[in-house]
Amino acid sequence: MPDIAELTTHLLNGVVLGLLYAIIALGFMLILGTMEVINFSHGVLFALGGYLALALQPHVGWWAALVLAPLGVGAVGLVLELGVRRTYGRDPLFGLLFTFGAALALEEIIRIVWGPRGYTISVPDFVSGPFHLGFLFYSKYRVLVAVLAVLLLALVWWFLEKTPYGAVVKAGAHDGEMVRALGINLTRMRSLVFALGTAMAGLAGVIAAPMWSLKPTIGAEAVMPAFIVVVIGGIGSFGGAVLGGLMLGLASGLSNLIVPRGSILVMYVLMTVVLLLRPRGLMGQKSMLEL
Amino acid sequence: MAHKSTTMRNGLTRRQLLTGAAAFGAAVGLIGPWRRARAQSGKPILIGLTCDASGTFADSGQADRRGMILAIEEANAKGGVLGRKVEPRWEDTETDASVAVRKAQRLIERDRIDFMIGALSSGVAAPLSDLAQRHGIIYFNSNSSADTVTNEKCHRTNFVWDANNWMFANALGPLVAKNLGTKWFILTHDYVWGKNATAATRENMKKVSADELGELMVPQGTRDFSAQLLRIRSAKPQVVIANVAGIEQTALREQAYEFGADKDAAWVFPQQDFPDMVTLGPKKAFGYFCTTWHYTVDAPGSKEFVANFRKRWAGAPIPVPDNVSCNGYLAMREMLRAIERAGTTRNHDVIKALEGHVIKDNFRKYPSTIRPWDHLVGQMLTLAKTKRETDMKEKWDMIEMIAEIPPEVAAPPQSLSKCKMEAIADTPVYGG
Amino acid sequence: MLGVFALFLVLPALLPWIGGYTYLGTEVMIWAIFALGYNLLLGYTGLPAFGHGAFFGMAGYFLAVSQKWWTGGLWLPLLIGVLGTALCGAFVALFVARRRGIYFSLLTIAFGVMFWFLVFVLDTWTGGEDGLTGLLRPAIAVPGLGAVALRDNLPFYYFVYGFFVLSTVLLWRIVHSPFGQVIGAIKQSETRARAVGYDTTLYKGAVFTLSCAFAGLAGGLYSLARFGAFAEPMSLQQSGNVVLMCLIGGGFASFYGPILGVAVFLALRDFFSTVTDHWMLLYGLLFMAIILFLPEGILGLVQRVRRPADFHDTGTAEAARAAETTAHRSKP
Repeated sequence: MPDIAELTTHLLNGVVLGLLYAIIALGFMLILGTMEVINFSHGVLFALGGYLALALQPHVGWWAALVLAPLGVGAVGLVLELGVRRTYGRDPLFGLLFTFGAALALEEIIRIVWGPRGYTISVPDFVSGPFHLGFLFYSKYRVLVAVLAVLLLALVWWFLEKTPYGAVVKAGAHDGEMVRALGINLTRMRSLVFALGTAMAGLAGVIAAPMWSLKPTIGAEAVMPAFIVVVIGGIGSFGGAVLGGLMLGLASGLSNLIVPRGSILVMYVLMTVVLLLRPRGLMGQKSMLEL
Repeated sequence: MAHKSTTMRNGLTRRQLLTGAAAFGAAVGLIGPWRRARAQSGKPILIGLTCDASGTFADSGQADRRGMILAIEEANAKGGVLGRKVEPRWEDTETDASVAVRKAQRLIERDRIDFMIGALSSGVAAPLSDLAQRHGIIYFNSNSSADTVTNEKCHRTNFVWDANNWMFANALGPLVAKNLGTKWFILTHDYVWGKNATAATRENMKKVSADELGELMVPQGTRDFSAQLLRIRSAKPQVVIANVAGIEQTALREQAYEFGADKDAAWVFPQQDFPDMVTLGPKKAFGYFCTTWHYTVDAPGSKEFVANFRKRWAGAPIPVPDNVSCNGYLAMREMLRAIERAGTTRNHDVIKALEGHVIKDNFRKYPSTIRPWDHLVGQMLTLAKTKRETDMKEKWDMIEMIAEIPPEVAAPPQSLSKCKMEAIADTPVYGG
Repeated sequence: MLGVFALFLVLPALLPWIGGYTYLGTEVMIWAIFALGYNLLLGYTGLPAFGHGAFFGMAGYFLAVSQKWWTGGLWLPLLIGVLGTALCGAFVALFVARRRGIYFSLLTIAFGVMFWFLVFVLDTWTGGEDGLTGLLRPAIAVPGLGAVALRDNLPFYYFVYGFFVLSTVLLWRIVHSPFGQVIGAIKQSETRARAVGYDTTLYKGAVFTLSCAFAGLAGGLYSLARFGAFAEPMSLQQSGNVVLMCLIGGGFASFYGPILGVAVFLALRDFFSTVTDHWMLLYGLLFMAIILFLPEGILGLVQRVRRPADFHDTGTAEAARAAETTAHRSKP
């Protein structure tokens, strides 16, 4: 019978994991919702974030790397978008396949530059090690991860909901014509959104790297939950992405406690259940994607 | 529009065929003349190297290959084998059984290799040895530690050069029980290899009278070890036997170190390949393990081998030989020597030259033997632990040897063998 | 069509001259069966499923499990492979048949990966990472020839050839039947098809299941080819391969596109990996280049070059449809 310390640890792990999933999924969904592109390279960009941080940390320190690495990934995203934009308006399959090819090429580039071996990244000293809180031992670093994640989510929410440009981004998904009519450069907006979405993946990669260590193949594992979160949460909903991410993280964390074997499978069971009850996802809005 | 497309499709059939054939021919034709040119440059002995360059075992796969290439180059420098040059043909098996089978098939059919060597993952070794037996090609598992390939899945053409799960468990058991404690907690990597390793551990526990305080599974893909670490902390074992490999092991170690759990008990990782230790660094590669060899071993021939290796592979990710590359080297060298002894590449004769052969110059204290009943190379094992950073003379000097176990004790006795090999007469003839 | 069949009939004799080998030819035919069936879904109905590798892979497991522990033999396990896969396909179709476009793709990806994980979870049955090896190719009784052993590559090639011919003819019939016309209509405009009175969900589900059945046949043959069932074809990356195969060859433009695409793809893969260790980079770049510059595939390009007026550009059609729908929605 698991005791209270174990239960709490798993719940906390689930929350941290969920927040991380939410960030990855949100970046993915921004691109999906605005440009109707399934960005397959999202996972490998997550990995790239970690690798860039690995390269930068010895030179500029952990915090600077935390800012610079996602910027680097965003830059890569900008370049990618130049190719992706040729697939807009066509069968969504093309955008998907293009990013799929990009994912393969990028993963190989990572392998060429850094080699196939794994790397470990250390956390900054002040968050290294566990802390005590009564009966609870918890990793200080994970608390930092949670804090950073919440900050980022709040930032993105503020951008989308409270700034005029954010409103344009939200509108752009539904009505490109209108956006152009308002005098806003649609092409530039799309580049920006793509860069933002990929930068978020990169940031998630930076903060996850010390927990999960780095290998060229971790991208594939990171992108799968993003799909499921978007399906569960509903496309086009910020709240859905966060809720979906948290649900997924908690489900994974709890199942780790009860039946560790199924902790990955439980994600899919959850997805199937949600789809049966709410085919459009928990908070999904009818979007152009369904036409 | 649907109707129009239908007529279009019908009308194009013949033309399409021509274009299609042309394109197909062009694509494959790129390979054609190029390959023929290679075949005409004499009749070298072709060895297929099935080593991973990507996937979980990428680092070790490359170390494996480095050992093999060195052995081939040394043989060629002495004039080749049977007066013929030895040429490697390498394929990246991607730590994946399915890819390995496909590429091995290609090596056999397209490149017409004479012998095959490689494999780290047991998942790759088993189907490849099946494939090799079907064709009659001699296959050396240089570095996989599955028990099955020398028991239920043994084959006449297959030879296994690394120690296996049984050996690791049985070598460690008595030493661990005596020196570290008898209250054990087990972590099992939840897939075939991990479960086999734990089965071997349990069998051994009975012999050394150790108590199992508990077991936790580590599913593949686990990145969160707080559950396991917490449970261990509350169970308070003296020893943790961690049958966990690959990236899960790396993550486990990271978090154990982060949580301070590496001090909770004596951690034993029965299987530890050196390339994985390099990734972790001395602090996080804590614990005890069993190994077959390391470059700091002082034995006849060892220093020369290490010097040659260091010269040849100066720029490599791991420029010193380790247990993985040493296995690769020895396996390759012995294969070539056996061909020389047999005087032919005909598989039946080479097999006979291998069975029962004793290898004295294996750079360690006790010679190894190629056992004829299961084709396992019986060798010595050493209990070791990770050196403290302050004790290390250079970056690669991470291993401190503690106690030796001679081959007669380390290797499984014939009475336990479940191997029923095909008779030589039933093995298809290949080569010669 | 006869031309294609004739070519494959004599291929084993031709292959060594162009640097190929019989096994490659067998693989081409197996993947061609898979790709042709898949193209029913992709090219003809316009449904971009992206997790189909899962069905290709699971068939191998159904076959392997039946052969090893249930029925033994050859024909029955093969049949079970097809039926089992088709059943799973029908199951997934329940969820996905209602959707299309990106949402459809997303769901198929998710289910594809779910099956992939299931293989590892059920590792007592599937052998997990090791795969399920030890399959046999029992001899078959051919009228007039007696028992023919399938163990060697050449007889097995012709065994697969039989299925290749069968599948191609069958699919051709399907595509040119009333059923084929309906799915073509669905591809152009599902709303219109529904308005005319067709239960589009039912048709989409049927096509999905059918494509899974062919994947099941191909997957079963593949496991026989390698004497084992493995999880590799079920990964997301491998699922992408079949899509690329259809695309390269021109699956949107021609029935035979997938066959050509498979041949080019497999030949290139062989070629690239001999040239460099980092073939995956070339492969990924090729993918991207094809999407950007040759989305209609080789045969589509051939068609366009020769009959520009008749050319059916999926891309333009899609854009036109999208514009049409936007125009409709901006009305109050």
